[in-house]
Amino acid sequence: MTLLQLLRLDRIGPFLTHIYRYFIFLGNVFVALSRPPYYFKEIKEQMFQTGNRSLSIICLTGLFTGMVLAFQSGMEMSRFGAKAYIGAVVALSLVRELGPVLTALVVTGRVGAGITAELGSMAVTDQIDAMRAMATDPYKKLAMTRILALIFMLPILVAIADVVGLMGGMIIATTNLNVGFELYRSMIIEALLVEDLVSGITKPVVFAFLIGTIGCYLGMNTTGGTKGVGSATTQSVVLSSICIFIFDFILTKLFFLFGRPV
Amino acid sequence: MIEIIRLSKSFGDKPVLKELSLVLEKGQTTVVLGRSGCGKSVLLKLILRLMSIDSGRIIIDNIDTTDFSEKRMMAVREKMGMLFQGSALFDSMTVYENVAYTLREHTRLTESEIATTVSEKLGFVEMSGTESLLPSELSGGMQKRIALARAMANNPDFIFFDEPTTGLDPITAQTINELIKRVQEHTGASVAVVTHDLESAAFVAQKIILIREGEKHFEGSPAEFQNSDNEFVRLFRTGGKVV
Repeated sequence: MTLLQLLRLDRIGPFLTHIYRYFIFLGNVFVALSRPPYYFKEIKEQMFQTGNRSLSIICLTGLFTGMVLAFQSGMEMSRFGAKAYIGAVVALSLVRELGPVLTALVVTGRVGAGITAELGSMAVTDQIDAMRAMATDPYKKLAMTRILALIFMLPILVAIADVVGLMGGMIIATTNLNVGFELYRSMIIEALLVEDLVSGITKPVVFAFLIGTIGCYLGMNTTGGTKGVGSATTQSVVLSSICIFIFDFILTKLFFLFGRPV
Repeated sequence: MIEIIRLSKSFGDKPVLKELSLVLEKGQTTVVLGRSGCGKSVLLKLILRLMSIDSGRIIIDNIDTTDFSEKRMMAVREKMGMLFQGSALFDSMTVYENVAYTLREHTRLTESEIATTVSEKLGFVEMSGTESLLPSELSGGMQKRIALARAMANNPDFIFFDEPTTGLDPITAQTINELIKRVQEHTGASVAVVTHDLESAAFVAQKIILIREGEKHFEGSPAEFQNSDNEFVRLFRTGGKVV
């Protein structure tokens, strides 16, 4: 084993090739987006699939996240006599961070993985080549429709997760922490600014773009039969998750720089 | 007519096609024979530009398409139909949707006109009544027939067959061979069949081209192929057995 292999530097070449090909892929998707046909029917179908696949698990995630958040923070805040602010803490944590990130991670596992597996299977069985042979642009028909559907649906799913999470927090606040519903509600309204809502909508759009493009890129470039499909699907989930965390930090930093007063 | 001039293609360090030149005549069935891995399927994918060309020219109906962009190739592909080795039917779509695919994408036909065409094409390949089935519910031979119906749905000028009889039993293979012959006679399309199945080649071919290690080794009629004294042609004919 060479030093290069030991330090895993031999992987830099393939990694850079992937980055280069990913940007070529993005270029093709943007070109596809710029001219008709737009496959509205397929986009609608993909939106339904995205929502249908993730709604129940997102509600569950949102509910328990809100409950745990309220419980953990409420217990600590009670020590300082600040439990009245529990609504504000839950709302800010959920809308700014946990709602977008957790929903995006759930969608990565449910939808992003599904996209890679589906397109990967199509790639290894020549279905994508067949589509091109029949004079259809797969970037338009397969990638663009899925990416747009995710961009439309993820903010909606995040909004649902936020609302369900706030309701979860409310259950804990009213039953375990003796915080009244009216106080909980007024704290939420007082704490949330327009910037938080803008951040809560912008983050899912960026995350959806990442999940969709990574999922489609890896799926459409799958080789190596069923084994290749499996490894592309795993890669898709891992890469999308990493990118979500990285971009969450970057966006949070940007929002604090240009939006909300610190 | 498709004219291929000094076409080369390599994968990494491995050359697959080496300055291959050949002509697929208009309204004829040309069979491209060769050992597995000699570049036969790659040749079809290069004609359709599903892969990029390393060097050489591809001239389709007197138009040099070598430097065509993907967008311009789309228009060329509309005149072509391809039956892939594994059929490559869209497994999320029914038989009807598979055959109707090209019509929905590239024509302004109404749904009832599309239904009539789909029914006609399925009738041609003797698969009427399978409209609502999914590809996973069909046998290999049935999938090939549906793939053929899909390939000819748009009445293309060129139809390509990539190993159409591979993996099929002799009776089903012969059914496919008969269909290839009927398609050519019925539509007048230029047909190219890539195979290593000699019986299939003898049955459907009007011209046979034998590729050896990426280069054209023989070109002639089926009768000339049968009577050739060329050592590799004889070896290929007898399957390596000394006769």
